[in-house]
Amino acid sequence: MDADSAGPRAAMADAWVTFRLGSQVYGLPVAPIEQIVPMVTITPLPEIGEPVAGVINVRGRPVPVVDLRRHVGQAQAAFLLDTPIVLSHIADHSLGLVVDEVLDVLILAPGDLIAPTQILPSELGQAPVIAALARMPGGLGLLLDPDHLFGPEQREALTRAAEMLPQLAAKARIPGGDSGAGA
Amino acid sequence: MQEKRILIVEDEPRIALALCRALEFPSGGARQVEISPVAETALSKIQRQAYDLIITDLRMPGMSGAEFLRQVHNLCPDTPTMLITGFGSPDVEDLAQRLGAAYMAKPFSLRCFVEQVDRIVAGEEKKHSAPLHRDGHGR
Repeated sequence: MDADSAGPRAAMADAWVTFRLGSQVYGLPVAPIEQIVPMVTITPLPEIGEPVAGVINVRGRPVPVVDLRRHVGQAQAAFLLDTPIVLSHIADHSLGLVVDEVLDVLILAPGDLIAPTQILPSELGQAPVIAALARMPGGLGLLLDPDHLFGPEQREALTRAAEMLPQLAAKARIPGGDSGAGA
Repeated sequence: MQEKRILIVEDEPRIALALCRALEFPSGGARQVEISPVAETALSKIQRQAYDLIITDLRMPGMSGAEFLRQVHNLCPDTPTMLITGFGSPDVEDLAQRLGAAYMAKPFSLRCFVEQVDRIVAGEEKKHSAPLHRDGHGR
């Protein structure tokens, strides 16, 4: 993949919501993002397994939540009252992505984009989840391709979750949250 | 507060939509935003409708943003304009100034974009009055 490959070109055509996981800045395209809400009660649903950390109530609808820190291999961090949940539509599912902090929404220039293989080790550089790297305020960010954020098994888990959630939600009595996410 | 009517001319649909969404969730006054992916279509709109601000990308298929702004200047010389580009340079900034347009080079934050739009439509940023030249850059 070179600097003119599909990843960086596609990245230039998008606006990116940037967020922090630990000390690393990431970006996701704006299009699949529906809303950003503060933390609400997450009801654990161990029956479903990774990557689903639990479920929240979004205006009466149970929505699975993924702890994105754990998903990218970082140590789990405590969820605080102001920890944001990025409500998104990814992999044909509505889900909430827990991140440490939402930073900004950026429109990028072609000169800011770098093909992953130019910087990252080849195994990581060719990972389809990384659309491109981008120079951003605060450092180099990893732009994620939402279509490759979850592998086949994780997609199956999300589908299972979607099928089971209404039933599990009723059983677990998922509480309504505040700040627009809850019922 | 009177609703501000804004036209965005941008050929990348996802960028256009992001700019539109940013402006349609106002922190202050209400804004009505229209998108046109083609400069020629935008010119037709401008002939039918007055806008409080016209924003255009520089590089677009067909008519360039620079040529579009020249025609806008002829049609409605008092309407504020803004040129956005992914290929920012002092030359392009100078071109924007000569075209009487505010200038914003990528990368930019949507928050900064909305703040600049607000300043322009509030009349806090005056339209440049320098004469137009036909030897400008762009495309």
